[in-house]
Amino acid sequence: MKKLTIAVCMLACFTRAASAQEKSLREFRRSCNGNAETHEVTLGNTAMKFARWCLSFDNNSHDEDVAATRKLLKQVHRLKVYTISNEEGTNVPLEAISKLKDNLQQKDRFEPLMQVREKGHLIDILNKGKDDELGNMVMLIQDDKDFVIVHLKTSLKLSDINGLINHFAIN
Amino acid sequence: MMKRSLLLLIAVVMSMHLYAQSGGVADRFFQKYENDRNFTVVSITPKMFSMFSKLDLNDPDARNLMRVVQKLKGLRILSKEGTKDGPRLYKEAAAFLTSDFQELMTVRDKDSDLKFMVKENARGNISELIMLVGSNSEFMAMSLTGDIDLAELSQIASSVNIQGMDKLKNLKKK
Repeated sequence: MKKLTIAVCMLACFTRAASAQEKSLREFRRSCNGNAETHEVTLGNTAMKFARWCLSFDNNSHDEDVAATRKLLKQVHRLKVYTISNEEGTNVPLEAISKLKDNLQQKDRFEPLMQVREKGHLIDILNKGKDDELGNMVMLIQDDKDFVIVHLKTSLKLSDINGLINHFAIN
Repeated sequence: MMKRSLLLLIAVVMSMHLYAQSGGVADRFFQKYENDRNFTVVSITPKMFSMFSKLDLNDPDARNLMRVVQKLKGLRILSKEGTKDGPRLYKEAAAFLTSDFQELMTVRDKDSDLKFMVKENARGNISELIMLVGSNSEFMAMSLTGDIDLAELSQIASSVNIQGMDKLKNLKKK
């Protein structure tokens, strides 16, 4: 009984930690609902397994690119794409994106990797993980009419990406 | 006792004020314009460079590039295209940075001005390199931080697709 209680408590803690990871993104998505046309696509672990299974049909041709992609997909556990579109061109204000970035860093412990901003266009990449892994990655992309959030949960090590770069460089 | 406490309080407040201003001169120049939507901003953080440094590429040219990249800690670019403010911004940046940086090289032709400014670290290497470009149609400021060896940087200068960086090759001849 004691073990079970400890296990349940630990599970609850982990669940809370996992849900807290996305708190900033969830709050941001909620704030946008009703203000613009929004779409959300989530590819979970099962979908990723399915994608790997689909790629396995190409195994007969022994395509090394497919094998490398399958190997990479194995480390991607979830992909979430959230888009906010507004045909009239009035998209998410820069202040709101800046606040989202602050929240991701302060509340969810993400670290900024890169930012490119040109006129109304913006790309921000943040991640949470050790120095040698891609880990949990968020991309914020804004153009004239759309704002896109890409959230990747991976256990990809940089050595995996390194292998893929070298593989495609050779081929 | 009262006087001593007052002096201590003033000292603490002064040190806090100095701490608040301790962001480098270059930081302050970038911060002045980075929220202006007319400027293009590129920023690569130390963590990204730290991740780059873990990559081990097979291609010899890429390896050369990575050898230099491994020593870098940050890159910021601030640019404004299609503007007549280029010369004014160039002069403003150069004047702003002179207090903290040494001039390394200036190239002036009829259309544009280009200036490299550096800050050295204790080992005699460069801890920050600033490149300024100003012309009648554009302005660009680039800040590169890390433990930069100019000889290495000039070797890869031509393979980096950043306007003006190719001028660093000329340093080898000096």
